[in-house]
Amino acid sequence: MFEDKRWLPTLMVSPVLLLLIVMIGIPSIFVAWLSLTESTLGAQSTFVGLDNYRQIFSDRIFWRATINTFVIVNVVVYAELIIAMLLALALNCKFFGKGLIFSILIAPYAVSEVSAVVMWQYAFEPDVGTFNLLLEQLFGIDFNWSRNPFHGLTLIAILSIWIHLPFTLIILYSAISTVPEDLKSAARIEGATERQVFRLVTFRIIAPAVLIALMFRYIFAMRLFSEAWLLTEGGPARLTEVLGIYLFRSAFRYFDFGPAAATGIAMQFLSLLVASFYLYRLYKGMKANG
Amino acid sequence: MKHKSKIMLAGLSCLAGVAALNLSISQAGAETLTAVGHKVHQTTMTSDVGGNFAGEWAEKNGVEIEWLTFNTGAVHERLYREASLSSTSVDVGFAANRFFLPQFPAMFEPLDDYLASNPIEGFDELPKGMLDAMTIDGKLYGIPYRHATAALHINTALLEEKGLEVPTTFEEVLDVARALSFTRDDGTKVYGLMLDDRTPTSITDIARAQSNGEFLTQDFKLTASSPEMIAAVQTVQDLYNEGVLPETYLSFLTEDVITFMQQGRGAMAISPFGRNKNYNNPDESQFPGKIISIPLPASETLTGFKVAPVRTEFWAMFIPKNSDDKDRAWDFIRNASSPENTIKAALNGNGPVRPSAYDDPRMAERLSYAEAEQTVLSVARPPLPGWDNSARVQDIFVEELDLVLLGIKTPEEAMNSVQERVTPLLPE
Amino acid sequence: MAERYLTIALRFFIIGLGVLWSAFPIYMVVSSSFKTHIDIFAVPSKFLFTPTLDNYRQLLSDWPEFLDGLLNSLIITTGATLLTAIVSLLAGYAYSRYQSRMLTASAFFMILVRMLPPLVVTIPLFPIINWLELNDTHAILIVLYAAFFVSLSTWILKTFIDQIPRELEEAAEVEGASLMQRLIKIILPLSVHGMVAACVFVVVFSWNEYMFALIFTSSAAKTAPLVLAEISGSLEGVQWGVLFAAATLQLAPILIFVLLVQKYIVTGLTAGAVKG
Repeated sequence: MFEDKRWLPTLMVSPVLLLLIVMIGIPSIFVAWLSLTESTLGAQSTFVGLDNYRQIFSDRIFWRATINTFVIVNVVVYAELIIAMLLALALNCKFFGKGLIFSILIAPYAVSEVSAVVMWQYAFEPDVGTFNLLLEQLFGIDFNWSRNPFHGLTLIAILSIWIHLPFTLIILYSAISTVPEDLKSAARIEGATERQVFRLVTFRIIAPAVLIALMFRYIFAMRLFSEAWLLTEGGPARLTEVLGIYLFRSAFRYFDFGPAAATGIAMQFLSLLVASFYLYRLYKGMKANG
Repeated sequence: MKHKSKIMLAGLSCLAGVAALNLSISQAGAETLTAVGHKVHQTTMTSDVGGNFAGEWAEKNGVEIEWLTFNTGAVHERLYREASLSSTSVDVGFAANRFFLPQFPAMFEPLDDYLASNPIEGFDELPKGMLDAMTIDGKLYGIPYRHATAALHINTALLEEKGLEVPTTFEEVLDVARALSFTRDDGTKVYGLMLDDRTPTSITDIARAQSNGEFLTQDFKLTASSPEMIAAVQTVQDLYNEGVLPETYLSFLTEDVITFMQQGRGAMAISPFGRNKNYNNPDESQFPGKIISIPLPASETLTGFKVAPVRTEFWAMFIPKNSDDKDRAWDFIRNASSPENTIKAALNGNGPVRPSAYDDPRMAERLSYAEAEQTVLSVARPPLPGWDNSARVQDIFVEELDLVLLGIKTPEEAMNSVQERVTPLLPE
Repeated sequence: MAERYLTIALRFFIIGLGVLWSAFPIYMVVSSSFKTHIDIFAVPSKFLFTPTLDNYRQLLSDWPEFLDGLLNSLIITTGATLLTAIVSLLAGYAYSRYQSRMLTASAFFMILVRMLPPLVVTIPLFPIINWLELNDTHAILIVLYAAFFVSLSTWILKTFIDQIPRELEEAAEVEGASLMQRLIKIILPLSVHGMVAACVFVVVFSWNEYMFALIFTSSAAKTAPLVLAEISGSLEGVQWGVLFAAATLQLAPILIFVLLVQKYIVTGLTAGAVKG
């Protein structure tokens, strides 16, 4: 529709693509190659074919980490979605001090992971932590995340939700505030209940934003590492291990780069598997627009 | 087009600004010696308490020392990566024995020639065991700087509160630990004994105190499934189940031991002598001056030992092969390991690797535990050798021990499994 | 009517819970940074205490590099944000206004390439960056952080520019404005809110990022989170008060930033700004 310069759009996206290719794309190819070699510090790497993949696939801890990651990712992403949706709907009206409230709600996003772990560890200290004392006194729950792997995974999930909820909230809240009020009123006049208004009007309009939020959160959540490593180091007995920790151990504790790279590639496939559903929907959306 | 160039110009000037900033920072010192280590190495070489001997050396030689400090795991990760590159700015690096690798000859400079042409004063005094651990194919790669040897720390205030005596045998240690595990009126729990971690390092201390047991010797004899190790794991399991070890032992970090001791939530701890300073730190501790550090007593059934042959670990200094100023790096190391500076470092809170340092009157005056530490050092041994699989072996050990503490495996099953899983990881 | 009040009550109950959930851990850390070491671990936790600045004093005397860390974080965050803003505006515009198979393919490449865990990418990057002698420079972190966030920013800006009526540009084109002129005179002013929304993510990420900074910097470009981690993992025991003071200082600027721009985040992610 504008000037007929075919190279122009390509030129405009090229800085972004260049950044991605140089900083991520090319290293990724190296990673793929590394996954086929035996490689460590201070030694020549040798080609070993699919040995690294065989090694990680026959390691039961790898599979446990995969299952843990899969479970945590789904719990975290959907819990965030539900909480963020509730908050966004609750916020979707005018009231005094809304800006401040919204700021407080998204404040955890600004907290670095290192600080966040310190905060939560302190709050959930089994003997003196405020939350643990509350849980015990109010509900009689002995929340011992260092002993009980289920509690450990729960705490990792809670922490992860705490840090990342603002991301989902920002996107959903923005999306919900784009829903025109007159559309909703029109539906109400025609006798729709609030639930129907949400399902038929609001949700229809915010669906693409929900998709985007879900997809990016899936991709980010899949590489969950810091929270889990700093809290439990995968313990006790590596029962709370996630793929990020598994990769970290290989690469940065054992200096065994082959299996680390293979784990990375496996994680990419897992992400791809989950994201492909969303990508497909987005692709259809893009085609429909074009 | 005018605007296009404006945008480009803006972008370029941003980058240029950043680049200029980088330059201005890196040009601050004309000649620098870069050292990679832990903050503790920097403090013990530069603190004013005993003397800032590294600073004096730098001034005399007209160099600036750039300290790159990281936490323990990251120090090694960084140093080894830098040393594997084709060139690096790192001249001196610190590494702890547990992290030693067989790839050292490819990463670090052999020091024998430097030692011959420009010797270290009183080199013969340095412990042979430490030097052996850094000798590969007859060549020496590191010079020891700091040792950390385990002690039994006791909160005497709690001891008095319960009317107990300082234990003299390991059996008594366990009895006292049990007696000191109780819940206060306000609900706070006191734990009788704290261990630094769940790695072979801490468990071997128990095995050695009980029966001079061993997990993995320096020459790679693996005895994980020996009756001594199984008994040690059994002891740890009992202590954990009885609530003598903290409930959080399964996610414990070394830092937590310090916090627990300072708050009186831990009554005794087996950890390095140097911690005495932290446990008694008047700014942080609720029991300053009340926590004593003594040699861990050996079991009454263990003949030939008055004190348990606990762990000693050490840090040493290395020169990366790709450093561009090796002579200066050697001079730095030489200076740091002279007898006088060893004492100064010790006064700054370092564990001195020279036995003679303990004879210096300044030591006994400043450090209440100097004599005790010297006694232990004469029998202490490294907990396990360092090689490329040692991190893996530690992870396996922790995993199996956790299964015991969770009640999933018996100590015997777990240690048999460790034996089986670790055997293929030993060097040939 | 009763139902209406119920809805309002429910609304504020949810918001109240949300605020408590978000703010409580932060409150604990900030308040603890003004407590003495002994008060920090008092059981039960003290809500009334005599505030002290000792922790901050101790932080500045024991960890002077923390201030340098904050400065480095500031430089890197600013750089990464500018870079991301410029390149994603260009790309976002192209994706919004043009259609081609190549563009669609590249859009999916952008998402695909982001799926590899950053942790594993550092293994091959380390020797490459060292060979380029870019280790321990601000520039390398700026470029890396931008690379990891351009996908998201481009996507947000594309969605935003979609909402800017093409008629505005067409009118300018008739008057002979070049593409660059249109970009600067029309798109840029209209997409300020979108830019803020697209950049806030990279700002927060760059300010807090730990792993890349750990691997690619040593001293000259060492960022604040690294110093923070070092304080929390000290061999000599954690000085909790000092750690909380450092966490508070590291958190304060970014929190204030988020507070100031929160209005724009929302309008930036919606079309409201353009209509108004």
